[in-house]
Amino acid sequence: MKVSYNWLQSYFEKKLPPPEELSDRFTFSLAEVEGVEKREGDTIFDINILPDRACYALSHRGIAREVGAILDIPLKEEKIPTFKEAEIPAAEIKIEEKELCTKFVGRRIENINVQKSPEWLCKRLEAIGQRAINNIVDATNYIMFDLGRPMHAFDADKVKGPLVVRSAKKGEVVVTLDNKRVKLNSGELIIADEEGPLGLAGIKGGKRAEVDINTKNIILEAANWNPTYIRRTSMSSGIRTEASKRFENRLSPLLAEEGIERVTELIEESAATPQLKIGRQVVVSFEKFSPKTIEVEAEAIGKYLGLPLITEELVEDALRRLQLPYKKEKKKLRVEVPAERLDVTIPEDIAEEVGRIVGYDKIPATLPSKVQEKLSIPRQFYWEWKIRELLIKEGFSEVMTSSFSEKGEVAIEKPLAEDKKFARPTLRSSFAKALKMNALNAPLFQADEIKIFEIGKIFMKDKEGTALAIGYIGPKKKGASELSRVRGVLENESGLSLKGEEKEGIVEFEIEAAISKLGESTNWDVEIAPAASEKYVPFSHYPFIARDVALFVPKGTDPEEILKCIQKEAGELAVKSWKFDEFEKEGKQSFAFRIIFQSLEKTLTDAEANAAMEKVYAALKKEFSAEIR
Amino acid sequence: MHPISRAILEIREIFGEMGFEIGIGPEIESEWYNFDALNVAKDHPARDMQDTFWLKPISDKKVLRTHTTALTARVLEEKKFPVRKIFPGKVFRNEATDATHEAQFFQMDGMYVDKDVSLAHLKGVLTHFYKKFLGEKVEIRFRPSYFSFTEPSVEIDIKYKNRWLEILGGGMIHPKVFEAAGVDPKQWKGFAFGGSIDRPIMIKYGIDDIRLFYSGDLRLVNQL
Repeated sequence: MKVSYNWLQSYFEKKLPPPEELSDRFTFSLAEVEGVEKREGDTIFDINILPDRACYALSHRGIAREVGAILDIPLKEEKIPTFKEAEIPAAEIKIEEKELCTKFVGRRIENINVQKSPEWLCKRLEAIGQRAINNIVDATNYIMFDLGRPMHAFDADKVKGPLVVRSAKKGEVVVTLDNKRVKLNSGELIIADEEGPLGLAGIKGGKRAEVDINTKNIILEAANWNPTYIRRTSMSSGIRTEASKRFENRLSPLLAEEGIERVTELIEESAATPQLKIGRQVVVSFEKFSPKTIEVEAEAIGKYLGLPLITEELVEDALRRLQLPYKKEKKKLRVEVPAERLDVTIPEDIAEEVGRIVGYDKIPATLPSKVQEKLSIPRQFYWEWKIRELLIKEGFSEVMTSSFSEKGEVAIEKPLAEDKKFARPTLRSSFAKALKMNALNAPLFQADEIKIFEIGKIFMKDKEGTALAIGYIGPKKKGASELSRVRGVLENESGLSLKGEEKEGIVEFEIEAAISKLGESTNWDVEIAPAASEKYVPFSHYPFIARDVALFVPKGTDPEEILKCIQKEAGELAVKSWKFDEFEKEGKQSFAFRIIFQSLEKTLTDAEANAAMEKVYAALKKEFSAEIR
Repeated sequence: MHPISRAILEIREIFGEMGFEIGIGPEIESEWYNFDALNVAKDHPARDMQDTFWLKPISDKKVLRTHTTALTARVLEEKKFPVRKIFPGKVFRNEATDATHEAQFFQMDGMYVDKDVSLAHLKGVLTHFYKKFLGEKVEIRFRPSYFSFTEPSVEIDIKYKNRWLEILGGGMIHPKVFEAAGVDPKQWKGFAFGGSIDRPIMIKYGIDDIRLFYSGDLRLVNQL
């Protein structure tokens, strides 16, 4: 929520600390500040109000009270205004949906003068990104941002008959204040009159009874709507407003009357004519407010928060600062929760309030006492790790692939993509892609074979399992035998009985059942070598080019020297090079080297690789009298 | 070795030193354990299809678990106290993927229930863990937050290489969560925390794209 520093300041006599300092205090005692922006002599905080606190803190008053608590400074005294009510017809209200509209407070005001709002009010609204419209609309908006209580004003002369809260009928249309035609499906809650819909209840006002420059008489509305209903309708209609945001969370019913009085006060100040007549407040209510009392003890709060230094005085001090009135009975504190604090319902909530005001930084870091017994290890976890250990020892690398697949038995209701419509039934499909990709990259690893495995959950109809996939791509003759070999090692070393067919260099086993036949261990005897590196180096996503150079050199030439020369001449694009062959023939020494070219920025061309190779050839001929084959 | 597996290996060891046992569970979870038992309101946005992968048919009320916190609810129900558990595992969120977001990632959740558990223990356990996991210089701090399953709830930041990182959430287990499991919250207290495994290891090793973890690419795995 956007919060104006100047607006907050208006709640205090005392000068507030600078915005940056205040922002820090919010972060550690209330909620995260996502932005602090200077704007025309004001500073605007963007505070990420936590959902449980929405009932009171989506408002400048709520935040001001927080400031008072956090900084321990007094707020100016507030009084709800009252008015001399005139004998004019009262606002007529009919509620047909008592579950969805739990309270409706209305008031008719006659003989107003619609004009521009006073300067100070326009400034405040504009500071938080709202557009000033006229003194009536602005007054209702202002109260929403000040008290957190959304309000609405209808042009009373455009309303035919009573205001009715009812479900929309199929085919009805609302034209909203911003001139959008919203077709109703039946079921949406609307405020209507005899002629039809006037607005989307709790979400957006309508054009038909809009207050404009010619408006003389108005009806004010402060209603409470069912939060679940508002959230659903605002989602399905795609209209989310400052009002709906507030109604999505519960609001204290007591705020409705106060809201009406405050708006009336603003209107009396800015829109009065000599004939101004303020009608009586009409209250239709199906909710009852019952004050809540929560009993806490300072000592228990201290124990719960882990604040050993907490005293009754500290707790009482925090309650006072938070304006949470309490009565003392020996060691017990009976906290009387203010109406708008719907978030405070149990003693643990009071502990949180005390904790954040005393400061979470005061909580020490304490380790729980040592455990004497041996820790149990889930059998499945233990054996998965024994499998990892064995396969890593056998030179296999673990990979992880996507849990989503194109085909399967367990379908996802709203998948991310066409090829992610199922929870994978086997590891195979993604795993095979990974094997292929890695095989293509084998030269980058200076390898002529790729050995990978994956352990992960698989999903069948009504059943979830764990699978192990092992993959091998390498010199033809070794292929099938390597998979059988490693499977044999696994079975011998672990005692697992593995059933699975080798196909296209991959074998996959369901291992959950097999593991359940093995014993449990309380002894963690898994040994894995430490990480090869502490730092990851980003790799290129562009294709590489592999080039070989084979050459005859005089006997006794050191291949390391040749490699150094190659690395120097081939330049920065040569990311890897190594010797891969050597033999002697007719008194001559032959070596073969492989060089991998790759750029971090682009796809290399053959010409670029050729140019580098030409330099290499020339240098090899010159330095080693090499005969390039 | 895969950096996430290596992290889980370290998690087991460091939490093991503090008496925490590994807990595991299904990746397909019921609505009950994933939401209801954790005091998540019936109409909470997290339950929307925009955030959660629901499985067909929807009437089965099954989801790909959105957090390993679901295991906290399962363990509470066993009513074997005191208990210290750590749950590393894969979780799912229905969100578009980019370099910093994945629809599948790993999380670790931890819980400690005993007669006298406090936020100070939470601070102690996590401070110990991150000092071992990321280095002795690490600092930790709490900020106010909100989760339906904890009260008080805190955001837990870790200071690593002079930057504060928002890594975990946690707090004291909400009495309603105890009650949902049939446990008397007057008798038992506990903390719970949860957070991504992927993020801290991305920071630790300097990995710039979360999707790499699940691409099966040895150009990542073979480096670490």
